[in-house]
Parts: sequence; C-alpha cells; structure tokens
Amino acid sequence: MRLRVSAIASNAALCSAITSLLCESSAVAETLPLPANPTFSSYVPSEPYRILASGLLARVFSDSTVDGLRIQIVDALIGPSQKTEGVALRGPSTHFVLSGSGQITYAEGGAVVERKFQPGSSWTLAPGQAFRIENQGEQHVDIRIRIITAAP
Amino acid sequence: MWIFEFGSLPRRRRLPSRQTGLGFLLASVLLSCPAAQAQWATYRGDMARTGAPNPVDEGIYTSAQLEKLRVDKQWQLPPLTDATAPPRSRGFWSSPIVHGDRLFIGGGNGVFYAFDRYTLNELWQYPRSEQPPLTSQFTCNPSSFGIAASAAVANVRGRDVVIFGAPDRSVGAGLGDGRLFALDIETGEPIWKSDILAPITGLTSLNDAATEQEQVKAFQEFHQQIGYSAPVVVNDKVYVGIANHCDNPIQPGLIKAVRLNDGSLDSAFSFHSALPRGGGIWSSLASDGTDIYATTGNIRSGLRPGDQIVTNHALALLRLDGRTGSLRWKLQPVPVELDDDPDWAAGATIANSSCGRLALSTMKDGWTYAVRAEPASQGGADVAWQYPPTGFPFGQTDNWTEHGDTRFLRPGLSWNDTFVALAGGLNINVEKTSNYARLHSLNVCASPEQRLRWIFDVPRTTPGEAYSLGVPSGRAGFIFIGTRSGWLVVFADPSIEPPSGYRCEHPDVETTICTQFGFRLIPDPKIVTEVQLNGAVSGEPALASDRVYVATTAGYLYALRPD
Repeated sequence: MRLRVSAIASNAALCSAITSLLCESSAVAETLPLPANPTFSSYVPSEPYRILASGLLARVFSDSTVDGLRIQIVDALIGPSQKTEGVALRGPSTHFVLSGSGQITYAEGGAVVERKFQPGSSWTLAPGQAFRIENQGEQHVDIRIRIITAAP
Repeated sequence: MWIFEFGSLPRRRRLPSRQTGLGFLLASVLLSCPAAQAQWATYRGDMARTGAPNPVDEGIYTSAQLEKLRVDKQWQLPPLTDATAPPRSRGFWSSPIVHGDRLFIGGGNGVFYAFDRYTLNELWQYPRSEQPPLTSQFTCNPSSFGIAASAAVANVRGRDVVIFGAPDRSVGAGLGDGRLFALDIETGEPIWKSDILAPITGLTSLNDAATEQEQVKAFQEFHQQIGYSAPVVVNDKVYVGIANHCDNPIQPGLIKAVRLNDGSLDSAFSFHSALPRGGGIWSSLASDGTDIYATTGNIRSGLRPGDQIVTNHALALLRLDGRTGSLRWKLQPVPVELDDDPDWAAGATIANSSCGRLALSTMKDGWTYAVRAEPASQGGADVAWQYPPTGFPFGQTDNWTEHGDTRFLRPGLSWNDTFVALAGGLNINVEKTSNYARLHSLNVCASPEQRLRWIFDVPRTTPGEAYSLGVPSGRAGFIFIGTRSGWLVVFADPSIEPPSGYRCEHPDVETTICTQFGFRLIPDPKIVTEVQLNGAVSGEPALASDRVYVATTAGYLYALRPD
C-alpha cells in the first residue's frame, strides 16, 4: 500500500475519507505540451482540488453529521486520458458520474470487475473496497462521491 | 448615417490554430472594412450583437493610449422624487449608444436623455421635465419601473431617430403599457409612438395572492413588459422582445415587430414562445440582416394544475423568419421537467466565422452553445458545439446538475472566430458561482480540445456574487468590462499583448499541477488599466473611436479618454 499522505495532508476532511490504497499505481499520466517558456500567472484557485493519488484530484463538497453518522460528499476529478492509482474509502460510498466517460475497476468477491461509465452512471462500494478509474475520454471526469462513516 | 450591416462583411479567413495569428487576421479585417463604422449606434454595437463591431480606425485603442484612460466627463441622474420607485430602479440599467456627436441613454427613472458626447452636456430629455416620466405601476426588479434597455439609431423618412422601449401610463389602463418611441435625435420630439406592445391590465400579484380568486385574477391580467430587451432595427421593421414582471405570473413570451416608418404593429409578424404561457424574451434580439435570433425564458413555474403545454419554445435559442416570425430552428437543451428557471437571458450573438455563420449564447445555467445558422429550414438546431462539452439535451440522469436561476445572463462578444462570454467553465457541474466574475474566451471553429482559449478572472469585483460583471465590449483586441464594485477593467487579448502568464484551463486546479493531471495551460490575459467609477456597472461600455462611455446603477454616466 502506498499513500501520498503529504500531498493531501492539507485537506484533513478529505484524508479522513481515505484509509488505504490496495493497488499499486499503474497510471502514467499523459500530459499536454507546455507553451514555450510558460510563466505562471498569479491566479490561484480559491478552493483548489488536492492531490489524492496519482491521476486523482479531489475536494470536499460538504461534510455533515446526522444521527451519529458523518456524511461527506467529495468531488473527484480525473483529467483527460488519466488513470488513477488504486484507492479505497473508509466507509460505504456511492459514486455518481457528473461528466466524462471511462472505466472503473474494482475487486469484488475475488474477481476484478471492469465497468464502463458515462454521465449518469452510479455505483456503490463497500468500506475498504479498492477501486481505480481510467478516464477514456478527451474531457475530464467529475464524480461526486458520498461517503458515510461513524461520526467522530 | 451608416449603420453596420452584418451581411455586408467580407468572409473572414480561418483563424490560425495558435493565438499568434490573430493580430494579422485583425489587421486584414480592418483593412478590408468597406465603410466607416457608426460609433456605437445600437446595443452591442451592431444588429448581430457582436459587442465588437469592426472599427475603421485604431482610435484610442492601443495599449499606450488605454493605459492612460481616465474619466474625462461625468453626469449624474437627478434625484428621483417618485416615492413608488423601487430603490434599485433609480440608476442606469441600460447602456449608452453613440451616434455622431451625440450620446443617448434611458434611465431607471423613466426619462430618456440626449447628450453632447464630448461635454456630456444634456441636450434634451424625453419626456420633458414638466411631463410625467415613462414608468410602470407594476414593479419588481430594475426591468420594470423605468427604461431598462438600450436604444437604437435608425432613419425614418429621412430623419435620424433614436428608438427605445419604455412603459407608458398615458395609454391603455394607465399602468405602464410597454411601447416603442422614435424620437428625432436633434430635438427629442416624437416621430412616432408605437402601438401598445406589452400591456398591463391589472396589478394583481400572484406572489401576494391570498385567495384562489386573486390567483385566478392574476393569471387573467396581462403583466407584460419590454424590460431589458433593446430594439433591433432590420430593414423596414423594428423588433423587440416581450417578457413579464418577475414571473408574477409568467406571461407568454412574445416578439413584436412594428413598421419603422410609423411604429404601427406589423401583424404579418407573429411569435409566441409558449402557450398557455412561458418563454419570456428577457434579452435583446439579434439579426443577420434578414432573420431574427432570440433566446427565451422559463416555463414550468408558470404552469397551473391541469395546464397542457400547447406550444413550447421556452428555454431556447431560436431563429425566426424575419417576415413572419415562423420558426426556422430552435435549440432547447433543458427539458420542461428540469426547468428550475434557467431562463435563456443572454441574447444571441451572430458571428460570421470562418466555419460559417453561428449563433452563440450562454444559457443561464452556464452552458454556452454555438448553433450553425444555416440551413434555415425548420427543424432542430444544428449545434456546432457546447461548452463545457458535457452533452445535451439534459435528462433525468443529470440529477446533480442544476438548471436553475443562476446568473449567467450577460451576452458575449464575438470577434475573429472567438467568443468571449461570462460562462460556466470546466467546473460547471460542481461549482458554478465562482465563474460569476470570470470570462472565458472560446475558439468558435476549433476542435473541442482547443475550444478554450483563455480565462480571465476580472479583478475589482465580488467573486461568487450575482451580477459581479457587466457586459463585455471589445475593440482592436482590447476588452472592456464594468464590475459590480464600480470599476471599468480593460485587458488585452493575448494576441495583442503578451499574457500576464499561464494558468490551468480548469479553474479549480492549481497551475503547478495542471499538466501533471492532464489539463492544458492557457494564457491569462494582461490587464491594461482599471478605472474607478461610482456604482455598479450592469450594462456595456460603448466604444467610440475617441472615447469610452459607461453608465452605472448609481446613476452616473461617464465619458473616458486617455489623459
């Protein structure tokens, strides 16, 4: 297992949703060519996505507690043609694809399940169930994830 | 007088794939422009509503000149004495137009003014000071009370006139029926007043109705208005859109045409957006010189139990036959079931691009569309692209996607195969409001991967708040936009001036990790100057060759020029 703790340490709420990475990274990020001699502008996003794993960015959309349960809604972002490392979430989670298309891979009952997705696709995963996402389109993928854990 | 004829423009060459070719292209267009450009004689500068009509000369539009742009003259609306006027109605919600040595603008106070554009000395006003202003008794937002839309200059029987829409209590039930006025630009005397186009027959508020009887009465009354729709003059007709007073209740959206000669209603032209009601025309109509392009508002919240929708052109971008009003095509990306009030409130911009004539506009939910204007045969719209390209029409599976009353309602500007718009970005599905202070430049003829050209977060405003920005105008590659905090910001397209740097195409991804995660770096345009004004800017800057004019909702009118 490998977790880039340092990269996500600044987002405690997001870290709390992640317990383990059950798969080794297989992602090799494709990059678009940089402009010649690019100088970065002073623009800084007010609520930037954080690096969750190779190929996977995320940020917390909402974080609430109801009847002893903590309900976090996390927005995951996978750039064009990106593959993520494997990740697993601490609690049961529901995933809803807002935009983009690709494939999710996860282990279930000793088998590896590969499933295509598109806008409107959804699935649920058990606590600790690892998954990996491949963006197979030219546009980015937005996935909204609802994670339920015991309230601290 | 010379009014920009959209159809007379030479076909532009294809924009080079890199931005570096734009300057050359611009120069070629400038050289080929056949006639002198009227200063800014209608809303968005031309009937195509480009917001960036082709200028004939450079004027003050160089970096060296614009860096020295300062307020030269200013004028303030007199205090409004009518206690019934909603406070927000008292300033300028329309924009100035410029013709020759004159400037024209209507105020939220219901008075239309003519100025010497060099001194901002008032030349005349209509109605005269001793006469009642042009106001409505049915009031809600700033579209209702006084004059909320810009004017247009035209020629009637050999006389130059300025035409605008306003409520008028001297006709009908005396509540402020909407009609058009054509005034002699020299004297301010009426050449004609149109027939009633937007009647008000009662003041029963659906929102305040305490009984079912009052609700029925509210629906039986006409509560129409011209509001924010600026007239467009095409050949021998004047067209204007009709909406309602804050959906209280929703009325059938209409487009009316009157004869330019005398202001009489042209009954040969007829368009209803929706029946029994819905599809208000909140925006200014555009034209290609023959046909009319419109955008329409919501429908679902206006339906009563048991209502059957007979006609539904609501929430649409559409092209109409300019003679009859019959539908050529329509784009309707949001179905009635998902209608949570995403009025299409930014009007259409018609671009003669290198990939054909396009109708461009951003819906209030933040998605921008380009529709091929041709063929004009009746049917569905031939959509060239959507940005962001998430797919449409939207369906029930888009249950996280909001199609509500968000604030993407400013028309964009088009020049040289690009479209600059206040629009949703790549984060549209997860975060819309952060885009309220952000302009996107889109390549209209490029591949989807190259669609986004640059992003600019406009400073000196209130990010995340509604109406953070006014309407952008452009000239010679410089873009002018007013802000809610009372600033005029001028910045340069990266083809004109090197950008301040590069940023990530996804607005919520830090630049340093942008390419690592598969996104592109794009230019961040360079600010040329910022000028402080008094009051929010809701409308557009009018760009004359030697001066820039802008008005604010605090009631100030400014003329700016280089020091």
